[in-house]
Amino acid sequence: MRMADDIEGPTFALTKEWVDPSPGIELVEVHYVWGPLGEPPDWEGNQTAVATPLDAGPPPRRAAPLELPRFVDGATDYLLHYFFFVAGGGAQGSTPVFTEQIGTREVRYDDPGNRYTNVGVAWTVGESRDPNYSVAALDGLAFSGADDPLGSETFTPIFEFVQAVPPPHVFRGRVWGVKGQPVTHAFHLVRLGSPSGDDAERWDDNDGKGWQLTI
Amino acid sequence: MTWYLRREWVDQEDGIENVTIHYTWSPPGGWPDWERNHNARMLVDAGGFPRRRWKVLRMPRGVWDEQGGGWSLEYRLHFFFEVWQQGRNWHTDLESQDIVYRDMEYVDNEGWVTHLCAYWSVYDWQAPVYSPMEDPRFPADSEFTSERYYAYQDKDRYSFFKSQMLGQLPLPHHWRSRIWAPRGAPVLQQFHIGHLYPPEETFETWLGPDGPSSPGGSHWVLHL
Repeated sequence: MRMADDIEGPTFALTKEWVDPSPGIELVEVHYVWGPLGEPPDWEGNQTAVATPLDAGPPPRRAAPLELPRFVDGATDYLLHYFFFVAGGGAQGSTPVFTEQIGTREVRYDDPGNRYTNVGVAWTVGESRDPNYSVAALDGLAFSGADDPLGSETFTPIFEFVQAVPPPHVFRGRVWGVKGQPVTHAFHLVRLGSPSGDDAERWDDNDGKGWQLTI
Repeated sequence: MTWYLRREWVDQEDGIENVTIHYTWSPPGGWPDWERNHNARMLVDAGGFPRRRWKVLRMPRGVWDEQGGGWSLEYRLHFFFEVWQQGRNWHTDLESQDIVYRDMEYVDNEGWVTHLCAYWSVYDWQAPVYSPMEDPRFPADSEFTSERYYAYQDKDRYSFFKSQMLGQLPLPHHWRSRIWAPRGAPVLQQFHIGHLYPPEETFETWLGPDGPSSPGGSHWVLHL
């Protein structure tokens, strides 16, 4: 299925925040494009997201949800270019263009007890509350969590295959974010398809604080 | 440019840890083909009691209709929620909504307008979109099209030339753009209207049925 304006492959959410520098601002909109490392932005067909109020302040804060690809030309590292368009009181203008490098980090979950069949990684970028999800792959069972090109982020029942992998079990997933900036993540631990009926699901989230890393 | 649709979930039971929305699109009247297109997004936990969760979905302006051999501006959104609750997961029933469009027009009889957007949002103002409007007679390859305004560094220069070029078009000016929504859903809509040349006359407002207003102020409610 092809869609107009489609982003090829799986995506992730990244929030950009804006703080009004002066009163009277009525519109803030993020314009953004992405491209390979080393290439300048091409603003034709840029994406847009209106920054809606987070709190009234003062000063008012706004946030815009950006949706970005996980891969650009097959690479996990690429450039995000964006600027804010700001209007109010008869004045309109655009900020300079900001360029950030998008990158990925591997995260690892050790399951020495061979308890879980599927592991997911839920993560947020920076201060964003907008969660993302990746399926982790079990070492020795490559198809168990390879990045789904459709981004479906769903588990498949693979209990017998997982049991056939010699312990200790190590699951590896990936999180995306901005180079040099924090990502908070948690592990989604699932035991599915157990013939003894002891399926289970829980979150390993560092007592609600999440695990931190820097891209 | 794309548009956005906010989807909400309210917990009806205790013990829900996480909710994910699964969604796809098909041509009008079609069924979902999850093998070919399957999107999944975790909802944002907004807290409260009962707990509310939401996600703003990025929506296409059309889908490819293989049978028709072309782009279909109207399509169906199919979605269901996957709920993780007390160690198990379950799914809601599949829901489908027809996504339809409407061509918007603002007629400027005096040639006063230099910049114009349809400002609109489905259901409420939490996922708004600015859709730049253009008179279809305005040359699409010009550096002064409405969509190119935002990235144009010298906005005074842009506004001067835009004003000059619009002045060459016979009146009235028919500014047009397109909006989308689930069929029957309320669409809140204003015009963000600007007169940005000459500089001493600069004026902009968000126009609704009661006249000039602010973003989200006086607005029309449309049902497509």
